Amino acid sequence: MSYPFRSLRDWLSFLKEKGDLAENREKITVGGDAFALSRRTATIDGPALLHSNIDGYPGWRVYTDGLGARRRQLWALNIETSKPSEFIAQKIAESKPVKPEAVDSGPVKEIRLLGDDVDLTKLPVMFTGEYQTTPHLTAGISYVQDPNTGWTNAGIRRFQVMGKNLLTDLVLPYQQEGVIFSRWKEKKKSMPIAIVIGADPVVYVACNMPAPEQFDEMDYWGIFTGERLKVIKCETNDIMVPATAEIILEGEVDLEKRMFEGPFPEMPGYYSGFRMCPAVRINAMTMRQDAIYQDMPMGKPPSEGHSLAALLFEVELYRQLKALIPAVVDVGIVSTQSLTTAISISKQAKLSTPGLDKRVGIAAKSIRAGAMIKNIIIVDDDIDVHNIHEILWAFSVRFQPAKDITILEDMPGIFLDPSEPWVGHGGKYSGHTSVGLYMCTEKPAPYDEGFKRGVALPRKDILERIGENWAKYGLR
Amino acid sequence: MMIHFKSSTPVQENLLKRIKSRNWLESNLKEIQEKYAEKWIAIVGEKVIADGNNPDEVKQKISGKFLAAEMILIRIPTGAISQPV
Repeated sequence: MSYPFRSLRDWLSFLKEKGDLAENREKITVGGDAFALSRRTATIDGPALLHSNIDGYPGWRVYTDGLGARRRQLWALNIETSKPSEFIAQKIAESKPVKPEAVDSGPVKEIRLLGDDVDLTKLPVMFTGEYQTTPHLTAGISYVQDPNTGWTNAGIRRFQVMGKNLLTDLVLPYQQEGVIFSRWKEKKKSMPIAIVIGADPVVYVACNMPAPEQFDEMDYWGIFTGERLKVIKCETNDIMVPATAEIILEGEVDLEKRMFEGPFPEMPGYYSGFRMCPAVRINAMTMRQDAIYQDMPMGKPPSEGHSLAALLFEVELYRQLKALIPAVVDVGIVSTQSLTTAISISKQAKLSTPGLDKRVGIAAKSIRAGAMIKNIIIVDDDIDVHNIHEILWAFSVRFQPAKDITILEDMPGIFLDPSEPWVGHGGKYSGHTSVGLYMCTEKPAPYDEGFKRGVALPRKDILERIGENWAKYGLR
Repeated sequence: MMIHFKSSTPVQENLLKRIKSRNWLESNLKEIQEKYAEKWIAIVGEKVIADGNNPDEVKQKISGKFLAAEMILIRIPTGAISQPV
């Protein structure tokens, strides 16, 4: 299988060749089995999963966790580097948007169900948690268009199944989908929407990129792959969707009708509350004859959703921070989207610039990509920000609680974080939090005596020699 | 094996039942909040079949009488439900 992967099928063949796809033929239920299996593979950094025996859904297959491991994320993007943030940021900086190519036919049109034939209960939509009322689509990519400019915004959203042809969409006013919704509202027309379920992995990466307004996320597909994404027009609206996708739901987001949505197992690892969300009427369903349903459960980390978000937050935080402060070396998401993030800075630059570590922390919270951040751990560039043991070591020996922590009060947060004391106002506002900056760096004089004695490690040349001859010593 | 769209399986029927229960909960939310605010309740069909201070207490009250697939188990919040847009 050669790059790029032009469909989910290509990607699954590749994963099979790599031995990184578990094909499960044991019967699973939609009531939580897929979620439990998904959690298991996420916890052990295990393979992607393809289930082919779904109780009550004959003929269906369900796929999860394709982008749950960093190694698979790098394969999907054809990247071989230990610093993907730097590589991707550079690629985006050097490239122009690559517009998709419209085609007249594609496998996603093999089955067309219109009007009364639409029935969402025939899809094997998985329950994630025990306390959901009805299940949510968790890997549905929402495609909506700005009625004034034609700009198409794409992003993974959750949709709750409310009837045979009814979903809810958690439209948030401060997200781009919400901005577009407000423009349809000005025109007094319901917002057309297409929901893509199951596509090649780069579609899922591209749609999660935090693109600026009026930038079509699908243009990233071409930037990453070097080819144009093939797209096809929906049956009932003008939205263009990937022609090789598995399932497309076409509908309209109602301007007035609201239904209560939730509870949903949210990314902080707790259930959301109820919210009154716009209803989405589904007018058409197109799909492959043997469609594969894609699921991406969230809930308590780790999960595929958290892993994918981590990669994209790392890229954007690095890209935006590096432009402001060149001494930033790398960014690593420690936990839960970007709520806890580690940033490494040049040790040399820090020693010649007093307060650099604090400045980096404040900058991280100030940029768009840092809106969600709550705990910022600043480390020296000899610490690998993708290695929790190294971060905790720096926290243990380069940090003094009395002088190396700064609290910023009354900052924007994320209303889903259950520790926010303002929880309960949910949804209208982005959130309200305090932020901690933890300066876990070697300090300059007069606090440097202990650091000047040197880090206790084997000699560098010996470490390298041993590393190159690992197997000879009976080690793997 | 081909995907079927015509007839519903028992699992799909259970989902339809849950949708009906959810709709009933939404239609009667005000009354249910007045009676069960801050409580956990179990709903089957269009009826609250048990309540308690935590989900385990509710499960214990109804142990074995209903299938999890056809039952909604939920905590009822107080106050108005927020509406982001």
